[in-house]
Amino acid sequence: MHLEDNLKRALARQSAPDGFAERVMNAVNAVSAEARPSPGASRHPLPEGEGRGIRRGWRAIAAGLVLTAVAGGWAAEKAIERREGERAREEVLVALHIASAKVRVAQQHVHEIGSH
Amino acid sequence: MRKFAILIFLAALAAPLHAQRLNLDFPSIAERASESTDVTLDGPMLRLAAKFLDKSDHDEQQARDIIKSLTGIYVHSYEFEHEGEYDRSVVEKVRAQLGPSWKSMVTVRSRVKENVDIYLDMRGENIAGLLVIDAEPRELTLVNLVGPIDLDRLASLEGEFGIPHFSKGEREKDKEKERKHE
Repeated sequence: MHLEDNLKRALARQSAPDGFAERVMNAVNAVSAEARPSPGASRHPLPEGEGRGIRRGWRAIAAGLVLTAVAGGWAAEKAIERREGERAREEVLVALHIASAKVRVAQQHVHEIGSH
Repeated sequence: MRKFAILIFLAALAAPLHAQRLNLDFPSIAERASESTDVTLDGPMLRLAAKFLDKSDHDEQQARDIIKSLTGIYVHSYEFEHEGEYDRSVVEKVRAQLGPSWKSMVTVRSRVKENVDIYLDMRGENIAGLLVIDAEPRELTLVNLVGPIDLDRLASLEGEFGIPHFSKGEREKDKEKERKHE
């Protein structure tokens, strides 16, 4: 029973002391203000010219990657279209060849009948 | 209501202009064939093929001219090891699909050569489609061209494109020529 009373007392709901919430918020604001970099300043400050150069370098790399991806996609699409086009061309030639052979056979028969 | 009636009227007008694609697909025949050629080219594929046909080559230019007005080319050709290996009722199934606009142009019956039937889909004075049925004991060829066709131009193509002649008689002539060249 003694243990139960102790537990109840320890876990009992208690109101926060006066001004507790205000103190917590002040502390949070103070930490945020420290962590936030001032405008124009980086977390690891570099000389101004060097930082700008690095940023430009990254931008150039990113642009290069995007261009490569776009050009690669376009080239792949063209290659697929070319392959399909060549296949369709061959199929057209085969199909017309077969069709014309059959029509010609019929025409020859008609001419033969006409010449008799 | 009036708009709906106009729509139906326009649809009815347009219907005869739309050339008919026939179902020539018979998988059971393809399974039995020792050799088969299947070509299925719809409008967009024909447009794509036209881009790749050589304009400077006379034969390919002719092919280009023929396909530019077509909306479909469907060819199924089968060769069999033995006579009577395919179901002849397939021919009737194809014929049964032909509507009243289809007219029989030529029927060739021969014991030693090809048996060829040619049907044209006539829309007034114009040809809107072609069906060729060549049913032989060991060969079956079904051709359906959809769209306006110049038959004389089509017939003049045989033996072109560097492809060997398709008909048996002409193939024999090709072999003869090759032997003479050797």
